[in-house]
Amino acid sequence: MDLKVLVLGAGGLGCELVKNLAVLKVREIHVVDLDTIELTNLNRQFLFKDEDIGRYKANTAVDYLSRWCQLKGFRSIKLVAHCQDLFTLQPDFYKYFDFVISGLDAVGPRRFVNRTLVQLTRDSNFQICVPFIDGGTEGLNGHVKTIVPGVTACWECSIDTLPQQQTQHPLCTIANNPRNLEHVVEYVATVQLAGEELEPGVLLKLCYERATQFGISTDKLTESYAWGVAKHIVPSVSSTNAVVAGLCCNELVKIYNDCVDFDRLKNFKTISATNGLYINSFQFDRLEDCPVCSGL
Amino acid sequence: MDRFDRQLRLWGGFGHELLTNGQICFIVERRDDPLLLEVQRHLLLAGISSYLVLHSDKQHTPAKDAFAFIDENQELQALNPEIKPQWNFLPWSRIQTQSFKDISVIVLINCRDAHMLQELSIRREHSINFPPVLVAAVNYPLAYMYLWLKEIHFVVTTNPEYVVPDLRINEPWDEVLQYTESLDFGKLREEELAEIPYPLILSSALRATSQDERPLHQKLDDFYLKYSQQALNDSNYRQAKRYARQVSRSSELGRQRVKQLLNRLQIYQRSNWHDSFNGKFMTLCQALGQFLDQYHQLPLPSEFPDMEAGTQIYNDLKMIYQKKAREDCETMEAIVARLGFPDFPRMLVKKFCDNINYWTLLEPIVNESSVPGIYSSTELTRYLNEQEVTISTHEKKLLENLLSLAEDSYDSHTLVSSFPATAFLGGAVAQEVVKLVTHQYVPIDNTFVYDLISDESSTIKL
Ligand SMILES: [Zn+2]
Repeated sequence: MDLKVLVLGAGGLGCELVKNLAVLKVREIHVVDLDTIELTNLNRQFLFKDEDIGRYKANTAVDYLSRWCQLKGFRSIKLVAHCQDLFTLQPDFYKYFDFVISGLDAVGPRRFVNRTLVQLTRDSNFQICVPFIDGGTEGLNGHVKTIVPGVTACWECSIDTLPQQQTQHPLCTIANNPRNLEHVVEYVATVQLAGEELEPGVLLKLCYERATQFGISTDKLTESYAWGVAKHIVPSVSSTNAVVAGLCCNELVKIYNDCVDFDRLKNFKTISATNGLYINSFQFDRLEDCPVCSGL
Repeated sequence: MDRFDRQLRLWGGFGHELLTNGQICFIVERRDDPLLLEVQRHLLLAGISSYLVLHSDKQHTPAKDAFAFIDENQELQALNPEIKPQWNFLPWSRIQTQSFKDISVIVLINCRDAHMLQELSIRREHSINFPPVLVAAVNYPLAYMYLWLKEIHFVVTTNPEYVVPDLRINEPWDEVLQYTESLDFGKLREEELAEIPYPLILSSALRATSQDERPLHQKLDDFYLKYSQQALNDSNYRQAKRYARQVSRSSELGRQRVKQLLNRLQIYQRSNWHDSFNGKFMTLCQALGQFLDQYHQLPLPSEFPDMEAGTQIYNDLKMIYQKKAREDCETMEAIVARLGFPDFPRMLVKKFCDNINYWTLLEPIVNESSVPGIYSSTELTRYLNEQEVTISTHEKKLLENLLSLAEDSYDSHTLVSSFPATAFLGGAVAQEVVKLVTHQYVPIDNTFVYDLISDESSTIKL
């Protein structure tokens, strides 16, 4: 496919996305990711192996798929890694691409990229219009949002539909009145170790002491449990990533092949696989007074 | 930190162990089928190590539009170093003689060769026990799956995201009663009252106002505000008010739900199971029936939710609940032993009791046709006729496409690359296999179809 595509994130979704794009023979694929590979990535980030732990994700994914393309005889495909924070990339960088697909796990970077792409369309008076396809997963659930700046709802238009951030317990509870391990871990992570780089062993030890002090059972207290609460870790598995990445790339293929009517495009999808498999696709309207895209 | 940390948070050590012991049989036209490669990669990552691949004898040109690793054999072995994956390849001609005894799930991928389907159907029909068959295919833009069950599939927990705790407030047992009676709200200071967990407020109110016929949420203020004027600002009392409406129903609803499930089981009295987990679960259900007859209650789950309360009084109450949960679990174990299973795994009894409100089951179709429903145009036509008035025009169109596919008259869209559809379905199929093997989360029941261009999807029971 004669396209230049930017993939944001080379994690669980990113690996699936870049793999799909390579199979689709997308001419130029760029990958941005600042992170390095850790052991807990390897249950799903299949382009990485144990010996890659510590290496940059973007580099490792691009190296592997470049070799893969060469072996397949896909000589015209170019893969480029950017091991840096996407906030540091200038608008000129983004406008080089025909599509941006994101497999990020945080809200901030998505809002930044959305804002940048909408601004490019606004500044160029629609000369530049880079569709932004955003995938996300959590456990067995996920979403896909297709954003065509100035045409469909942007990321900011739907910001109010985001589930509320995990309910933080009130400080007085976790400080004076902890009742369960969650309270214990939150206190240790946010008060006792405030401002420090968390280390699993230290975290576990302090949690154990505090739980004992308040007579809270430590049966379920493990390093993995404490770490999960302290870092708000989201469960993640390769199958969900593949479902969402497949649908993201299908959106790209549909737009590329003119299979979509933008006026009736079901631009948002939610996917849930906990009870059967439900894909809810619907048209999400633009927000009239959206702080990012209104007036465009 | 564990390599599997992020998925253990979904199905736990319990699910992980079942995956480790799982064996999957793939039935494919070709060994390099792109969908097979996708599904297999996810299952290896999930921790399944044993595979039997039944393939056709036909020669094929290498598949296009697929992702295989650079050194597929070596890298699949290295994908998950904690398992030693093993493959066994056999031709379709072995279906008739192959034992599927140890296979957890058969996955039929992108093949609908009439002869093979018939062989498989006969083999299945003539076996008392047979593993679940998951049929999956991509005919772009359609992607579809069908679950063909021979026996009941039990789900030990649906892992619901939102739950209403069942605290038996209107059906207290002696120790809760004694604890409630030991509290004299009239003698407590306001700060102390603000530390009382809501179940104790509600059970006291129920006892003290038994003459008053109004529902609890209407009489609660009259009962409680005389002890504490500022209670309306206390978070524990606000919780009490919020849960007051549910008190009279939550235990009964749980009981009704379980009774309905047990009723559905009555026609399946069998002692011979393909999946030994299903067999064990059936024993638990029998024990549960006896428990219900005897105590008119479900066993109490050991999970006690967090609530606004002082640490000490919360811990006291939690201890009372957990003691009762332990006793109920022991009673269940004793019943299971009386049923003839003295060495029944304790962990499983506990898991069952803890998920007493969250287990469910999928039933096989009794009078089924000889090929999987999804490839039976009679089944589909019948469904379309029966549901004509209830389904939307979009869904009708989608199912008509599926029907023409069953009749082999469907035109696949070949202009557009279907690889993303394959990647999508690969994830979805792997997920269904994991759900079946771990007996957690609810698998599709029984037909899923998705049109990747019109973006319409549907789940129906054929
Ligand atoms: Zn907007």
